[in-house]
Amino acid sequence: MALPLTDVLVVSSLLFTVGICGVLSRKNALIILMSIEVLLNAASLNFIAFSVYGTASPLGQVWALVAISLAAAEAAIGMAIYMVLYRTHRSIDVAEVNVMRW
Amino acid sequence: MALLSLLVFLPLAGALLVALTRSPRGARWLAAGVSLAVLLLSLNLLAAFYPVPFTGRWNQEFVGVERVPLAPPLGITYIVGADGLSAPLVLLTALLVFLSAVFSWDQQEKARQYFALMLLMETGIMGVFLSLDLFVFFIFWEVVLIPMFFFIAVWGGPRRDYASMKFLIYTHLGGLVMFLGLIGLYIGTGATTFSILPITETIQGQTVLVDSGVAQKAAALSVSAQTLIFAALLFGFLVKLPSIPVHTWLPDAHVEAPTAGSVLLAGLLLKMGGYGLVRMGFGLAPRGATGPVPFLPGLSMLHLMLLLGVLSIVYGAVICLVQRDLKKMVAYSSISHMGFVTLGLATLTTIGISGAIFQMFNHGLITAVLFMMAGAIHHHATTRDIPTLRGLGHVMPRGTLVLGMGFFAGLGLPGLNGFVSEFMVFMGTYGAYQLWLLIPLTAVVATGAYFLWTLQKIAFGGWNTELGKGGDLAPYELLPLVVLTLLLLLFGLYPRLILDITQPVAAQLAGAFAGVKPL
Amino acid sequence: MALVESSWLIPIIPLAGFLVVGFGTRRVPRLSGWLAVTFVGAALALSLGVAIEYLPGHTKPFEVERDWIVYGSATPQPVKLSMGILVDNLTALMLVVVGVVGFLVALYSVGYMAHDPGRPRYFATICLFVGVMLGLVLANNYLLVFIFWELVGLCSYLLIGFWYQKPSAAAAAKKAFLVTRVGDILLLLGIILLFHEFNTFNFKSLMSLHLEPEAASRLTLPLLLVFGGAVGKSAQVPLHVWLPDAMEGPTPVSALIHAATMVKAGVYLVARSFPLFEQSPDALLWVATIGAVTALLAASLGLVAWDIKRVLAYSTVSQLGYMMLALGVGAYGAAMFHLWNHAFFKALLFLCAGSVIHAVGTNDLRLMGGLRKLMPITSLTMLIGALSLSGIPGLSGFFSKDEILAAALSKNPLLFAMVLLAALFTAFYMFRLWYLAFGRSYRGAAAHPHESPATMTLPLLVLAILAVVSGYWLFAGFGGFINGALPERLLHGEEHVSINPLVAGASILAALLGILVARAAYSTGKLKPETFTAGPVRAGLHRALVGKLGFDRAYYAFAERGVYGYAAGQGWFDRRVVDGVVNGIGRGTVGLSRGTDWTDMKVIDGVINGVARATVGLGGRLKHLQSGVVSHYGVLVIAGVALLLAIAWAVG
Repeated sequence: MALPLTDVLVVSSLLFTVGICGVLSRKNALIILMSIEVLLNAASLNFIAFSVYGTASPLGQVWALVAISLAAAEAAIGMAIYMVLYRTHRSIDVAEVNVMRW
Repeated sequence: MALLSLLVFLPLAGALLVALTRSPRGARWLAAGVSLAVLLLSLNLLAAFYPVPFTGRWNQEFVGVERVPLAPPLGITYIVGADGLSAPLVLLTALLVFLSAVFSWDQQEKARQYFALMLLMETGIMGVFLSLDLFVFFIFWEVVLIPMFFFIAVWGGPRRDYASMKFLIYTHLGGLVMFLGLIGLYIGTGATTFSILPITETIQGQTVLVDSGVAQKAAALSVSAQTLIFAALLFGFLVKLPSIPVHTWLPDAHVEAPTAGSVLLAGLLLKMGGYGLVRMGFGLAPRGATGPVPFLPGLSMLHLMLLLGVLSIVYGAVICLVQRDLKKMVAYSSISHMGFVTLGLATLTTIGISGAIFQMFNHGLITAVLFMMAGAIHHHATTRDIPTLRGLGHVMPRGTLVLGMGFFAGLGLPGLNGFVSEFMVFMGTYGAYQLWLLIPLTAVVATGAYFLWTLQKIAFGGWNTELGKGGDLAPYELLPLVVLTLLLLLFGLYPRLILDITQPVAAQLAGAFAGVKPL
Repeated sequence: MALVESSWLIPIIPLAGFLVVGFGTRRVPRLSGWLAVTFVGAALALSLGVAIEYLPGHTKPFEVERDWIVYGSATPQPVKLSMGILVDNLTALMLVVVGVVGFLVALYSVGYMAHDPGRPRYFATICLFVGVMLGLVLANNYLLVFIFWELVGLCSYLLIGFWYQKPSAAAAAKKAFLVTRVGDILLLLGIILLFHEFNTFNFKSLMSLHLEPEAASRLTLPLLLVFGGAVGKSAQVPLHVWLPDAMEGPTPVSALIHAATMVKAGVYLVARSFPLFEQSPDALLWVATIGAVTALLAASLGLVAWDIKRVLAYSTVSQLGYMMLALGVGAYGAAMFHLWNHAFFKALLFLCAGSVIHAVGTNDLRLMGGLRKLMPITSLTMLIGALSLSGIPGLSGFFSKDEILAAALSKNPLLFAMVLLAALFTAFYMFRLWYLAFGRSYRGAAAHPHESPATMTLPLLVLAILAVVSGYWLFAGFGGFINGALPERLLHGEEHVSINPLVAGASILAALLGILVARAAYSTGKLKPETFTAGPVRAGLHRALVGKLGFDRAYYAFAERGVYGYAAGQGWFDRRVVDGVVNGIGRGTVGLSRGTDWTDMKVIDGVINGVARATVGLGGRLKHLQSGVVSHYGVLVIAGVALLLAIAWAVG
């Protein structure tokens, strides 16, 4: 096993940063949703890495599976929201949908 | 049986029911029914005092006492009881409310509210006359003000805003000063109960005295404390009575009030002052009655009462001579007649006090006749202006007969009830103050003068045709007036019906003061 | 069972009549008169029955009473005020007077009032009056007397004002009630004083008192006050002014109330209290003086009146003065005898006057004349009455007046002189009246004056007979009879009837002189009436008499300017000063609250509102942070986390 834990964590951090940047900077809601998926994947990667290198318990991998299924459910709900949003606003641009503002 | 609580709260229940009725018709039938029931109950109460053969064993106990602790930490108890002082006044209350309800039979404007307020007022007045707890007494005292305020402010004449405010402020102020006195009693006596009577509790089948009550403890207060308390109470009650110089709310209130309002105001509300003076003033601060007036050390409270009583009698009688409004004249005559109450109490003789209590009762009946007649005259002849009215004898012979009876009772004609009580007060006055009697006696001539003069102007001569056709009393007006005039005669011919009940109170009070010289 | 035991029924019967007539005959006014006559007649019958039991003289007084007011402490003894009746010889005499005159007047009224629509009211009040008057003479104590005293005053008021549409009648009724009420309060004060002195109102207990002279001096004030009541009721000077005005009432009323019965109540009261008065010489002197002054003054006022009833009214006042004088000089029997006689002849005179008025429709003597032919019965009976009043021997008035004159002479010559002059005046004004009404020829406007119906003339005849014969009771033991009402100590052995020839001569002379002058002036024309007013002195006197000696004007000024003016001033005071203070306080309070209001709005609310406004402004600026764009919030969250991490790192 040549791959050290640090490398995995670096990849995971990079993935997380990419995800954050995507969430904060993009205006298309679909892209934001995808970015969230990237964030979740970064987290899952961490779970697995610590499970393998750290505690040697399968619990981390279990949680990764839970996170993946949660991500699927979340994507479904997110898509449903976007559908409704599109119907009412004819757009899924988050900058334009600002009904919650002052 | 909770007779007294029924007397107090049955009208309240009636008031709520009346407020729920749909039509004026339902409201007045219900109001008359409820007040008639209360009247029958009050007769029942009076029966507890008969027979009173003169054996020397009078009924000096309170009858029908009920106790319900309301706020034990503060010592507030709902406690009611009737004695020879309150029983006649309870009867008077029940009677006048019933007759007023009948007299107001054609009331159309806001009839539900009208009758409901009338019954609410009955609850308040009954509560005042029956409750024996200082705090509860004060609450009932204030409860009475509200319906009367609305009576004047809603159904009143053109200056009703002024009159109702004046009434409210005056009597409320009086009530507050009185409350100060009551609080003074509460604190001064050790602040464990507001109850006048002793408080007892039954523990394991044994009756244990919890508190000896305000009445007993108050007797132990120092003279100066009692004097202050008495002064506060006296002020409060004199406003209500009313006595010169705090009387001017009365004529205004009467002129504006609707007829039933005037009847209840003069017939009952004024009596609260006299009642309070005996029950609270003389009853709870006896040594204050003979103490010096604050700021005027040379003058005792009794002398002040004598002066104010005599002044009220004369002042009220003289001022009646120049009144143009019939109701205003009757209002001032009330001041004059209530002066006899102050004077009678100031004598501290049995006959004087007895006369004063009887005078309250009598004045209630007489003034009810007079105000009802003033209302009826206004109704049928469209005005109460004495110079405009003429020849009522022509168009309303029955009304004139009743009016004449009322006037003659008012001027103290023997055979009618007013004479008996005035005579008793005179007897007491001579016994206590000798030739001071001359002053109120001259007022008797003035009283005769204004009543007869008014009668001459409004009833005699030819009918003033500018006032339309006129008309005699309607049946619903005639009934209460006939009942009242018969009572004027009954109590004039056989005063013992009331006097034997009031006598023990008067004797006890006078006995408590036996040998005490004012200053 | 003696009849006297049911004597309490005597006042009850007419009072029942009052209710029956007053409330039962509205629909059938015709019946009211006869019903009243029946009831009064029944009372009269019972009264006569009772009186006959007392006629033999010293019959024991009869008394029953019930407690009316009981007060005071039960121990040792409560005070009891009772109501009861007392029948003795004096009561019996009064019962007969009231009953007989009442009955005859009721009968007479049936004719006199035949066409008046108010008959039920009239007869009901007559019944009421007879009832309470009988009650007054039956009462066994001062309090009950006072009660009935006021009630007869009420009846008098109601009957004087019977024709209430007439303003003068209404005014006269009021005047009568008020003037007598002045006397009434004196009486009330008097009996209260007596009560506090002796602890009872009862006549029998009071009259049996025999006090030491010092103790008796305490009686003077109460007795004078009681006498004050009598002055009011019996129209003595200075409270006589109401009686002439009272003539506004129907004439039978004048006869009954204002001549024969009610106005005698004052005399009766003094007579009833005589055993007390007798112990106070000061009080007696006052009674005598007032009586004599009244007798003379009223007689002189009668000289100039043109109203037939007013002449008789002044005559009544004057005769009541005689009775008072008699009581004042201690001639108890004489006073009562005069009361007895006077009741009949004065009632007769009034009823005759009523008959005349009924015929000619006016009270004015100047519009009468020549009625002797037209109204023979009336003219004859009136002549009998006039002769009796003037004191012509053989008629009743002579005997009693003579007794009074004799008694006055024995006490005080001045009093005697005054009443002798009054006797002269009496004879003059009576015959002036008689000649003006019946002599010469008719001067009035009524079409055919004619004699009155039988219901009216019958009482006239009965009274005329009584006016002649009543005086002869003097020789049948009147003195002994009436003295039966006095306590033993006041009886001086057997009364013997004697006529003092000197007094009798003087009195007859005075009467004849009066009659002759009147005849000369108003019948034969030998003396011009104008000579009475010729010359400044006589003219001035005449003016003063016509002006009623200023009594009325003075009282009126007192009432109008004094009392009413004072009342108006006090009314102003009450409205402006007392209420001014009240309203001033009210206005001051309102002003004060306006100031408070301003402070509240500008100062206190200013601070509160300032804080609020600042908050709103700040919020307005800060709100822009809330963009609604999730990304912005995300940036902030990240920035915040970074900041917290930085702080955590920095703090260590």
